[in-house]
Amino acid sequence: MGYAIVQVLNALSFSALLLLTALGLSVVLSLMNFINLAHGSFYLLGSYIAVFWFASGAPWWLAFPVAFLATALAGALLERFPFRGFYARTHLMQVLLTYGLSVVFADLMRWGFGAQILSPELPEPLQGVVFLLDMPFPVYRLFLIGVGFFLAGILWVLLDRTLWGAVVRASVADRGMVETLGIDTRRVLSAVLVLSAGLGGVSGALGAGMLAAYPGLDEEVLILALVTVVVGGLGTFRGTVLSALVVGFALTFSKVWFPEFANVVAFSAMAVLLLLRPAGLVAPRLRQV
Amino acid sequence: MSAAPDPAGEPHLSLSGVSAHYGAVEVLRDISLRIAPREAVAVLGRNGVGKTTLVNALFNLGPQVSGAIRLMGQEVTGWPTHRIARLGAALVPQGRGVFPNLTVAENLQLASFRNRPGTWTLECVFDTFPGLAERRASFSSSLSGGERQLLAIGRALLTQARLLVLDEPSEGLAPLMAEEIIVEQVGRLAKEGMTVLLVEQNVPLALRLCPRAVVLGAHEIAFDGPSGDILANPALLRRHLGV
Repeated sequence: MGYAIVQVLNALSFSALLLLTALGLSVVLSLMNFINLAHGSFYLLGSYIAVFWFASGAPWWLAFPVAFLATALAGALLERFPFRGFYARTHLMQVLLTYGLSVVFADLMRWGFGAQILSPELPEPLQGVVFLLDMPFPVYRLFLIGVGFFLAGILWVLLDRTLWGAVVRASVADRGMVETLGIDTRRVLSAVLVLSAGLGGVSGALGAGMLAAYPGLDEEVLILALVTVVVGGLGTFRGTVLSALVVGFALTFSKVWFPEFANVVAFSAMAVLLLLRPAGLVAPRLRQV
Repeated sequence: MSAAPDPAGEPHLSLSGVSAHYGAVEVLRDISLRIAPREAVAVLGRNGVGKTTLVNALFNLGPQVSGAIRLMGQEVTGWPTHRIARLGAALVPQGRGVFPNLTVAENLQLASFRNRPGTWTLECVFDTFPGLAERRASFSSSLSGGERQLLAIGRALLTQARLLVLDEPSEGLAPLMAEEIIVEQVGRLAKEGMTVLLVEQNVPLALRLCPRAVVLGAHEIAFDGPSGDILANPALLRRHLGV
């Protein structure tokens, strides 16, 4: 029983991480129709920032806002050039651009942070384990579950319950009409991209305590985030939440039950799911972000 | 508010030598037009003569435009749409342009997102169109055609515009509803001092609202004058309006 609870919590912590990363990718894809394959780079940059911040002796909890702000700044610069020029272009052109950039960023980060695996020295309050029915479970993963779902909740409120969110949703529906109301939609779209980059960075900072930071992690995370977005159904917030849970549990439990074939089992299950529901778990409907 | 048009004042809208193209296709050629404050002007013409292109050119929503468009005394040719709108022009577009994935209240609030508070408030709009107040929390996709039209007009008012541009507002509405919305509601706004540019297929309706009419024929202005003169001109009616 204790073992099952620990595995469920493992799956939940992985799901929380997938959810945050995938939401960043998903808002940009669904709201701006822009495929950003450099999203994994924001994640990995966030992870490295957390590793070095935790080691620096500064207040540990600041690592997350710092990672958010640093990657948001990187996103703001990239948005000005070259992303902005590609919003109206085909997905293939966007893929070529952002994949190429992700390769450049991977090399830059290898050059800057080295090729070894860096595991962060966790801050004291997050170290150690708690015992659940005599089974140990890392405190850090409980923190990850809590913060991950909390941030996802904030994003949902921002997009679905605020006037700014209404502006974003309206810009997706009819950009020209929003402009006739005196709203500069280019700035709105810039803000969405900056928010997405920041989410990628904060996901990375949170994930560093679980997955560490190393060259190549950017792509691993990107693939999982893409799978999450596609399985969930493009452009649906609920779908992305559901799908992060499905992917998180599938990967975790296939590692428990079929350690040698974990990825085969998990990805085959997702392929079957997509064959059964090609539009994703939650097909886009009205009023979903 | 004063209701009389002010032909001597600085025009709210003036076009001089405006041509509009979509790629290589010329849709409007050398259009010149002045609309004074508090005037109500109908733009008429058969399908495809460029009525909607004229609207899109005015708001810089697509066509390439040459010539000069002045709004509230400022040359706005080539400006981004949101800056044109902030000068005080609002659009009720063809097909209404309400955001289906937003509630009625959100649709309206969007118009005050970037505009300073003014005469029109959310509560004013709900007082003017009580039907909308009852549906304020509903998604606008659930509204009837008439309610959507009122929503689009209410949203335009909340931008605190002084020039209201309506593109085919009667389209898809039952005749009585079109009558109520265009002649009664827009007519009341015009009486209260709103400058109105009404693009319409429904000639009798448009002429009852607007004392002055402009007829577009084959991409150019074929007639510009008092509405009464159009009805007295059977050749013009037949040739350009198909009535």
